[in-house]
Amino acid sequence: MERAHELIQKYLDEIATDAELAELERLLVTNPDVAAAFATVSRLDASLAKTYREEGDIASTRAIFAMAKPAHSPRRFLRPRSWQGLAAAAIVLAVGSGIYFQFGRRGTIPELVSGQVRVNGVETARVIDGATVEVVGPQPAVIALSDGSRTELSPASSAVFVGRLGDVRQVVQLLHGVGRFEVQKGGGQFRVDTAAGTVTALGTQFAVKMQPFERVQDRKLRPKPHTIMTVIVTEGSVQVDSGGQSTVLVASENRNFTVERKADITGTIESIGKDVGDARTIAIVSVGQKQTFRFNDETKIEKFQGRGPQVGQNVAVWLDPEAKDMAYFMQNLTPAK
Amino acid sequence: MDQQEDFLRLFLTYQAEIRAFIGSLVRDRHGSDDVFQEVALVLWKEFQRYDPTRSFGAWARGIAAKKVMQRWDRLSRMPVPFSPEAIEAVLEAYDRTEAASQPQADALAHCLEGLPDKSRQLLTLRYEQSLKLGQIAQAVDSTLDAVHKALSRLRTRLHECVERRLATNS
Repeated sequence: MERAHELIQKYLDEIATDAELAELERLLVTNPDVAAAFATVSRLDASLAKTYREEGDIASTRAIFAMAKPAHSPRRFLRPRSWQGLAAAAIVLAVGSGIYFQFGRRGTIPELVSGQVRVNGVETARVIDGATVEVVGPQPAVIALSDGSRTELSPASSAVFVGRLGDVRQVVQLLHGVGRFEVQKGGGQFRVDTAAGTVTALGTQFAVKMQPFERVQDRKLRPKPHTIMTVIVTEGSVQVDSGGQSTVLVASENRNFTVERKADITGTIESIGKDVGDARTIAIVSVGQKQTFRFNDETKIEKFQGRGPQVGQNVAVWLDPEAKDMAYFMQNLTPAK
Repeated sequence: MDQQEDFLRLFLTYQAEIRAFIGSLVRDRHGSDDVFQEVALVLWKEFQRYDPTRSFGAWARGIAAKKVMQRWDRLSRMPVPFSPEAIEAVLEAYDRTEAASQPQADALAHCLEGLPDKSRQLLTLRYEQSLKLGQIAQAVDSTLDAVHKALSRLRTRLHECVERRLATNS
């Protein structure tokens, strides 16, 4: 049993070699005492994790409880409609990583018509108002909204369906990817919020395209992550609010709106881990708090003069919108000596 | 008591066990959380089929085992290093050794209080910050092997402490 315990401990610490894993697997299958010891020790391991990560577990359980709530509201989209059948405006949006805006009002019940989505990280057929919806799988997801409008989110897109907000009858936050919005005519504004601004339908047909996370030079010619939104009007007019300016575009017009993305983390590098897989972990202390994330060869690194990040440097980090623990862009803020 | 309340009562009672079982097979924390959430949803959806004469924990772990195997089939990169036979063996072992989790958690909390600061620091780095052993070794200026041995000893010591405390209380 001593060897089995040794193997179990190595397995738990993720340092068992392939040969040792194979040996442990063989023992688990052939010796019930080893399997029982494995259950006992892994239970303790889980209890330790639970003790030290209580907050994350509570958040995760809360998300599950939200899913487990029984359906209580009437379905509002019983009759299937064709895209062409609606007297509607269509908005097409492609958005990069965005900011999760907090809204107090909740009230819509979006319905998944087709495709696969993950809501708050869990694959489900039920779209929850106010929750982050991510499209999974190769097909776009079509979601019917409470005002009769429809949204088609392309694969890998994500959005939050906020619903009515004040005088605006429908607000959708497009966080990432591409969305097509077929807007039901009349009854107030339909607004799409993105990290680069807002697009408000003025009862017409138009398209908006956003290019995510582009590297654009700032006034000092330093490349930094930006979000670019391109608005294309095909019929009528739209109002675009971006960078503190309001613009009305009419049919046949198109324009780019570029907004600089703020860094997700700024602080001092406290430690840099050794290579683990294809990435290294870096710990940054910012306002007394430590945050860790990973970076690899695909991370764009600016102004490190070929030496790469060093402990003690002040840095700004932009996180990958699709993998929040991975750096997309890192810039050295420490003045050159 | 309605169905939802029944479910939540059982789920809250056994969630630590379900997490432990999944975590024993899926060592990646995020992967393990994903499986746990998937399992929770299946448990809720299938709750009408649950036979209350059986252990909820055993039923839930059976579903969790299937989910782990499904993910392993679907995404070969999932970090589930064991074959379905080994997963079955672990499932049976969990069923055989099932125990109430709350007294264990209380006992563990008591045992953790008695640890020296250095040991607690190691546990914080490993379990709170989810650092790999190599990273911990760097943080505490030690070697990977020394950190592994220290953590192994700590787990053994804590397990013995929990067992003693549970035996005393019973």
